Amino acid sequence: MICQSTVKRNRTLCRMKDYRWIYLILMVPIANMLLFRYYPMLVQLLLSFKNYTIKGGIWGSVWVGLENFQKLFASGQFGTLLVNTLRISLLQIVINFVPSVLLAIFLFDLAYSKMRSIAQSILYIPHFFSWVVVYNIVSVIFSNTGYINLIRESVGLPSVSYMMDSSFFLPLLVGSNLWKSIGWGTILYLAALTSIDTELFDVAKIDGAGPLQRIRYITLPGILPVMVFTMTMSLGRVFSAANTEQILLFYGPANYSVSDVIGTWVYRQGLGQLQYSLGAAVSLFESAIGLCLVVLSNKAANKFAHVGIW
Amino acid sequence: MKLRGSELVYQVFIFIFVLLLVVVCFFPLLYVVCVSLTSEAEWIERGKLMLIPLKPTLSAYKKIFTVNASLIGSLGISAIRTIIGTSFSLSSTLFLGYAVSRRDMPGTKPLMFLVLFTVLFNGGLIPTFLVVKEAGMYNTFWSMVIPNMVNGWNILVCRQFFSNLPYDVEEAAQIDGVGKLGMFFRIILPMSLAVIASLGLFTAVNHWNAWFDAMVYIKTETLKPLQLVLYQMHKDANLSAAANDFESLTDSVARSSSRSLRMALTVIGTVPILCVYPFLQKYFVKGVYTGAVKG
Repeated sequence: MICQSTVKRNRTLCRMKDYRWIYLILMVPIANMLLFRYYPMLVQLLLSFKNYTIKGGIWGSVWVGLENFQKLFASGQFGTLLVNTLRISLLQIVINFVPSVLLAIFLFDLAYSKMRSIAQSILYIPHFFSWVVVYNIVSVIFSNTGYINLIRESVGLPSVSYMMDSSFFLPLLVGSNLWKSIGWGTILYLAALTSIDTELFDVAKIDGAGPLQRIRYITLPGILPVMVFTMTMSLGRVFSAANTEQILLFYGPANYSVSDVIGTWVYRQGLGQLQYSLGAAVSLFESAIGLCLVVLSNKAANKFAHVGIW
Repeated sequence: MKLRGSELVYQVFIFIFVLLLVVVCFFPLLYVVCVSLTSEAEWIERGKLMLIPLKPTLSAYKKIFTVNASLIGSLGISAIRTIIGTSFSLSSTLFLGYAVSRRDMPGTKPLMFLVLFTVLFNGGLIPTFLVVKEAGMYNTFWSMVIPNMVNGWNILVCRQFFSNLPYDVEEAAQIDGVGKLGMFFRIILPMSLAVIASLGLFTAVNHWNAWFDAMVYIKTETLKPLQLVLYQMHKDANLSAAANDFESLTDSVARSSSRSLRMALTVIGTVPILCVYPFLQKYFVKGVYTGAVKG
């Protein structure tokens, strides 16, 4: 049926009738979304300003105003968490950015196309591994009986406990993330590179431009919009790029001073030690700032790169 | 065209760069497979520093499938979780994606906002945990597939794809009297196999790889998925290493057996991924691209 009534209200009603079965089926995912996405947001808001007790539950526990936040900001621990979260996130973002751009350019310029397709197939694989698997791979290379230490022993060097020593925590964390995602990170850039007019490269060659000049004047400007896009979008992740799942695997009590981030603290102290209200307050703080950052970064991306998520 | 001078240097340089990267990427994978196939006797006999086992053995794999019955169970849980979770998630994603891509459906705008806001803001670990508990799903299989059923990002990808489909096909169907539901199943879905395949594969990989939610919600051993079991093995190994540092270091027989066992499990944890990988590769560029850039 095609709704053509000139009265707007009638047209809307007619269309709603058209879509009646769709509405009916939509009830299921919408109910799911309300229960498991929106209701937790409400609970988070409530718990942050209440002192949660098992007996009182979500609704019956007493209001305490800003006490949870005061407790948080007063304890020196929160500052450490914040600094660690920001430090790890920024490191992850920055260290993943440049190598992926470089690799994309190199793969694109590689004349030997067989090598290119082999490299792409292999370099994308780790992206699909779980962090548990990646951790196991890292440990078989770096643990006390890992490959590196076996090599060190065989040439008479003392073994180093890379996995336990807190000074190796950040390099291993960032390095394994780079290992996992360097190939995957090239995809957007490669897509942008293939849309550059190939004639530009040919003309530049005829004019005697060397490879570096071509990168400088054609390739980089060609992928600049995508670079600006990823950079501005990662502004929205300066809190969340410190991947909780990854850190939970790599950290330990010996290196909490550099490795404990908001996500891991909420899991360990909040959930583990039943400090539900404190945990909710921390994650409310994190989500609220995260929301502002994502909205800001999307604005920036729309402005500077002319693309955005919405 | 012959390469000369700076062009040749550049090609050689990037070739070596890419080759090194491929080796760095591939070597650990090879080593994991080798360790999983090495017997503890050979490992010690050959002075531990070795790559390719001369006498490869499947004993670690056999151990997994015979001695430790719970490991097979966890493999089953992972498989069921992946199948059920993916079908739930994919169907709701496609349906919501269809709804928010309809320009003539009343209520699309608020629905779109509802979806988008879940991408921007989340309730956090503890509140979600409490809600799951309240819903009676704590320590049940359903806690792994129901709470994460709706994925805002995937819905945005779907919407993008659906709104780029040619409208005249729909118009023709509408004139032929096809209802909105029929339109979804008979017109839209058949034209969207690419996006269905890529979202389905991604969702499946995520389900197969997930362990954090299972760690939070699942307490019964027989309900734990493979990746969680792998995670716990790692935590246990760390605990025992910390408890008796010197002893465990010298106790290399026990260590090496758990070594090959852990690596065998790691391999098993990646086999399904490697099986679907060729298909993933075919679709992922499309998926990533439509997901990241507004048309």
